Amino acid sequence: MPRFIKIFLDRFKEYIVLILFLIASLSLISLNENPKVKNLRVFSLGIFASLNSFISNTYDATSNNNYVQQLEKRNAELMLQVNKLRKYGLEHERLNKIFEFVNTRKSDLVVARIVSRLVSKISGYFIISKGSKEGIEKGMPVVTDQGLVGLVIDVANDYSSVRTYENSLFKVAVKNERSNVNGILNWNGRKLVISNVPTTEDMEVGDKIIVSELSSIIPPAIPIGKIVDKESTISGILSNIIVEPYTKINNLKTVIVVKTIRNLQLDSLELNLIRRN
Amino acid sequence: MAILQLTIIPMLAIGSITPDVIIILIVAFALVHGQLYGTILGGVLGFLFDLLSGGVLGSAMFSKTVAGFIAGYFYNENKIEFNTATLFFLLIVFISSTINSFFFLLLTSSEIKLTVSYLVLEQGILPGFYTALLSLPIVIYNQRRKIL
Repeated sequence: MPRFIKIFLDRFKEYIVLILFLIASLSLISLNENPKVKNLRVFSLGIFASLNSFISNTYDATSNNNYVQQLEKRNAELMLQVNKLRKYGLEHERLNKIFEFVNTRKSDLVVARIVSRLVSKISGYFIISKGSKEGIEKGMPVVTDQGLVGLVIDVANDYSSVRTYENSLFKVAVKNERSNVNGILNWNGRKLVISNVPTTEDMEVGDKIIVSELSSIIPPAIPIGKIVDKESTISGILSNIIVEPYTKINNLKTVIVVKTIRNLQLDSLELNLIRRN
Repeated sequence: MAILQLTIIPMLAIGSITPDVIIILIVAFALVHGQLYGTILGGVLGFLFDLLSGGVLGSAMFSKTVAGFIAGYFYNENKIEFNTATLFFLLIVFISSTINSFFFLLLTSSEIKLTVSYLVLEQGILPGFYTALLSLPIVIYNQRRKIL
């Protein structure tokens, strides 16, 4: 019997190793949300990201990063301010005599360098050079001066992992800034799409899409992109709205994390999907 | 190698199509040392890549294990030089890389519907071709070493 096992192992060792590795990897995939596996990811993020950072730093040594980062932070601040003012302007026109909604959220910006990136049309991730030491928390939005980039999903002491909008798991509540039509924006592997919008809704090519007040994760009014196309579904009742993002994430070197300081009462009432996970 | 893949290689990306230098290493290793070692190296480097990239843990491990296993099929101890110093190496890299990209995207796209043609053509063959092109210097280097 041991001889038979020995012959069997010797003959099929490649297949046995393959099967063992495949089982291990599939188990890891299914355990991705397990707290122990998450801890392992955060731990490795802290260790390996410093190596990535060193190489990335060496590569970028020639550019004046501090000055560029300061300018990018200023640009992002101005972008958020402009969007808030635009939003107030539109609200003022519509609700002339009613008090404006008091925005109870404050935001602070942290500039971070992209240490490494997983370029993929389906599972885009960045690792950025700021972590919990800078006050970054899971769920905070990541932007540039042009618009939304993604969400922080894991945080180590000095580094954070960001899920970009080019990711099949990315979903955000959005609205048309002009017509106030709401929808859920997601990534379909090629484009950003607001799926299943009734064709009767007022959505025109060129309209600006921003984060909706309905979003419990990302603060409202952060711009995302503009409508470039409308595709009718087979029934003709619904349509898919194609959105072209303002931020092109492939060439980014730095991003800005919006440290949203949330209203505690509002936070306790809201359905915060990130915290539920 | 995984760090290189995540820091420097994205600068070479054409759109979302990125060459995979880890696959080149796995293929070269599998062709020199055999299928078993190619599979193991694929699994280990895939796992490290998952840890470093912040992506779905296990996805690159799965795809690179399969790629290493497939590359190992071409192992022949009497043809190591032929396999690594001719354009046949590019073909093996292309096949392995295409399979790697296909499985990687298949495992990370659970939330969306993708067509097989999209997975194979756009996200499999194109990155595979780009990776094969990037492995050309290895073939040239091995040819020169062979001549000397």
